[in-house]
Amino acid sequence: MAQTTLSPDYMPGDYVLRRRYAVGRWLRYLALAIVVAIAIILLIPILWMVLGSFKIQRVALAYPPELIPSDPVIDNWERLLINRPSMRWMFNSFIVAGGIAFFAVVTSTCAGYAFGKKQFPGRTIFFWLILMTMMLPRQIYIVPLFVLMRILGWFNSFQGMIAPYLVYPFGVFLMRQYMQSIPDELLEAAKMDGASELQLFRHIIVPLSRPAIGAIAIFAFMAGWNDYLWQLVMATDELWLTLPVGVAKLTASGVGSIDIGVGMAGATFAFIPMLLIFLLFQSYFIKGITVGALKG
Amino acid sequence: MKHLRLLLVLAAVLVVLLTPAQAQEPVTITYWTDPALAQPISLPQFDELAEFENWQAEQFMELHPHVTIEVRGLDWPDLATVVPTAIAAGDPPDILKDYLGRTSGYGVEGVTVDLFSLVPQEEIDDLLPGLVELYTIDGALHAMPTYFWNHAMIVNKALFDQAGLGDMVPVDDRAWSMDEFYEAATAIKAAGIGVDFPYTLQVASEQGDYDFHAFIWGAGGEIWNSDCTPGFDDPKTLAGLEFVNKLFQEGLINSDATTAAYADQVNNLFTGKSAIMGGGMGVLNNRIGNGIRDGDVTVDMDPVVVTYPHGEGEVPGLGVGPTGFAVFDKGRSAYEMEWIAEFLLFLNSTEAQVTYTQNNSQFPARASAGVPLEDDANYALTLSLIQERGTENLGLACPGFYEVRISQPPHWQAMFLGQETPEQALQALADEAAFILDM
Amino acid sequence: MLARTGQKVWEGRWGYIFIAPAMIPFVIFTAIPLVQGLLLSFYKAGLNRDKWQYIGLKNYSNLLTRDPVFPTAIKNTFLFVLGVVPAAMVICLFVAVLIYPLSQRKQTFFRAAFYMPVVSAGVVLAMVWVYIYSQEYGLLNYIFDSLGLLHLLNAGEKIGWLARTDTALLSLAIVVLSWSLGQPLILFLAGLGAIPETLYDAAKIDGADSWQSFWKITLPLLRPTMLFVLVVLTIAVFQVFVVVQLMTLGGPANATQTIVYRIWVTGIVGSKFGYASAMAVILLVIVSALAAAQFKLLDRQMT
Repeated sequence: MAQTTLSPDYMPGDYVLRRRYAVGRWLRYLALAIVVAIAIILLIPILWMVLGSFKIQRVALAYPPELIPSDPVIDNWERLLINRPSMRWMFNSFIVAGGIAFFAVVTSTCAGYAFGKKQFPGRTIFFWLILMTMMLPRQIYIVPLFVLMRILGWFNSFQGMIAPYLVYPFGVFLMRQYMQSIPDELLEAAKMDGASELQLFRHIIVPLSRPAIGAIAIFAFMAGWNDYLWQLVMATDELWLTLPVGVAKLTASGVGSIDIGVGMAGATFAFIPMLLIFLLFQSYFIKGITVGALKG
Repeated sequence: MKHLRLLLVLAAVLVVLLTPAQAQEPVTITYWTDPALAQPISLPQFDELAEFENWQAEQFMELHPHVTIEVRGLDWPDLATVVPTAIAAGDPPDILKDYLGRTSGYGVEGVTVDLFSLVPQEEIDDLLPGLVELYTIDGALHAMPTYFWNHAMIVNKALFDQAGLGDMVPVDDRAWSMDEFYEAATAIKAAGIGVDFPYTLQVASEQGDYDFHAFIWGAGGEIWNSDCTPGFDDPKTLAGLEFVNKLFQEGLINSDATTAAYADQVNNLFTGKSAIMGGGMGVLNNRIGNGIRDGDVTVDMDPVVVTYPHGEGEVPGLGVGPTGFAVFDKGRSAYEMEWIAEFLLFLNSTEAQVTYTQNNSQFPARASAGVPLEDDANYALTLSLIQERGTENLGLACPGFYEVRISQPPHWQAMFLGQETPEQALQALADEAAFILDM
Repeated sequence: MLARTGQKVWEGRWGYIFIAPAMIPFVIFTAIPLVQGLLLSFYKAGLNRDKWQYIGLKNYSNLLTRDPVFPTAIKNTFLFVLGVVPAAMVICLFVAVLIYPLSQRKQTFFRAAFYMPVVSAGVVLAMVWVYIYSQEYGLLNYIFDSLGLLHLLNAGEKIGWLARTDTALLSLAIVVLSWSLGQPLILFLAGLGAIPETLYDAAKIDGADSWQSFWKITLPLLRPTMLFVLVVLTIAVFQVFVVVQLMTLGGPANATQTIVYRIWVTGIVGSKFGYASAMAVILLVIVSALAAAQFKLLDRQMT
């Protein structure tokens, strides 16, 4: 199996215009057109969501649909931003997702290091145990977990929403993979120089793992942001709702009816923070994602 | 003068001395509510989930400052998920306001407090006897009924008039046979005034399934027999089912019924794609009324209440569905239970029922609440129809009601899509219900 | 023997210290509740905890022999995985190979476009897609109508994409697919970048044509990446739930029931916690068998 070395700072776009295949110009254009079409298909729902947020119910339900609302209204946004504590919901989401990201980084780095670089009895079993939970939906143990939270009295609290995510199995897996790219010789040389275990971790492992840490932080943040079910169950007070949960509730007012405009405004509002985060940390996303799958 | 001053001082001292004695131990009560009060009529400031209930709780807390009420509004999907999870984990609310179809399940499981022992007898005596009977499970009053909605057909007569078919709407006796209904529906579709689907329906979820069941009741069939056995083997049930299926297959029901949402039904009615929809006073006053107010109704609207089409010799009743307050058994002290009862009676007082039913166009469960919407012709008509033709048995308090309820839509969908015949659908449902009730 | 084990444990003490921050919360908040949940599969367990009752394997026998919906749910779950996972792999590979030679800026655009659905919450996308798929006022029917495609497909009537058994599962799969493309694409792009140009130059000198260099160089060298994508996608798609819950409720006619949705309906909505746990055990057996095989393969490829 050929192995290739990949520096953490590698960016795919650095190699511009390398033509590996001699494909006819028209075939290439046709293929590119297909790619553009797929990209547009992926962007249309998001565009449609933003447009929908400016439509009143009658316009939202019109056929043929008004592609650009002829009479845009901001009622939906008013209802979202003024009538409801949506700013508080956003704050809650940031604290919960941020907390989940923080703890995921800490636990994944420590555990990933141990699983990747340490020898100890039970290593494989512990690793597989953690990994297995990645494959199980939360629905299975929501009731026992709920009982535990009741004993701890953690309803309507950040710790209650964060606790089940202190360990992020995917992060542990990612970090273990990443550890294998750090040469053992480096650690041994540091030990020779008299570095303690903690110094080793602090001064060699953590700095070298930065790309993986960035990736785990971002993935865990996204997972925390999107964790609908648990946050729904844990918040019994409107002020403790998180953004996606609060937004989903907005749309379901009354006898099972759906107010599309408000729903779309809420969906857009919940989407904006993640979009900004993606645009700001794009390079981290890209570097981070590649960390787990490819290592030197 | 001197005496008066002395008296005043004495009085002041007395007040100071007595006040600490009156300060009571604080109590916190959790109260979860359904979203039924949507778009109230005369309380326009309360148009978000649980705003009305919060307002009620604040009033109570002003009266009794040592009581803290924590209100949580749940939408329909949450009621079916969050509440059972909380009960199973041993942390339900103290008081839950929800539909009998769900609270009865909690009563059957024995997790609610018997209100016969919590609520004074004179309060119970004021409730309609039929409702008390419906709410009594294993000899216990599992919840306190507060109001009920009704279900009938709402026909937009303006569209029939427009097509010159106004005579086909039975405004005299408010009843039509299956044939009359079928002819009217066929005629309005053929009239070419844009009524593509005369009757609008959804079978995507169990929500609002009485729009579907009402055809079965009209034919004399049952979903639940009075002894709480499923009625899927009743030949009249089959007759009703075959009738709905015929309506769907001939394009008299919206073709997206297998996936449509409630909003789609309302939209069909508002835009004149449909001329007939199931619903009660809530739909008539709140939904259609507010729809006209907000400009969402784009056709002429003249809603008329009619009962569902009936089979030969059948006099179908109206579907009615009560909602009540359940109190959960969570080991509260006697003192705390006292205040829970106090709040429960506050929520279910005559005055509260009048406010509530007026705004939600429902019917109060208390005799003393009278007829809250006396001036509303349709309200009076509906009440007289209920008295005249009785009510249909929804089986709301039957064990397994909710699970049997959610097992049905897949088979109605399969029937509409031609994958199961009505016989096969009923057979499958009978088997499934047997399995559910056996487990 | 015991002394030797003790020796090993002592030597590995720093391993234990470093896994402790993960293992302690893992045991408290995941392992114990999970075991409790799984033990429930031997109980008849409903809302009232006082009425819970040990019934041995009855939940399993009911599930495998009597339950009318569960077999459909298993079948649909597999259809989802077999449809979405290969489609995502093929599309991403195709797109990655095509946009790899583009300039940095163009690549950034495509990466962003493919990543947008990943960053929007599943709840959000499901809500938007329901709106798009609507038969009466949906954008999709309008687009199809404008392009004349509705006529081609069926006599000009608008299609209820989520209302028909032959399109519902596919419609949901497309939504899941839309948020399954972003990460594999970025991975494949990185994988392509890691393949030395010299290999292609050498192949050209040997007279290999484009197809040959794709099959003989690109694909084999991308294998570790492809396996990684395969594992992660399979696990994710096996748990498909949000689209079902928010878009079809398992309908029409059970055409979109999936295992996790059944667990939800039975356990949380129907309050049959024991029975739902038995379903979860079956899911666990299926997924862990598949994942173990895939991880084994992955481990071998990567070390």
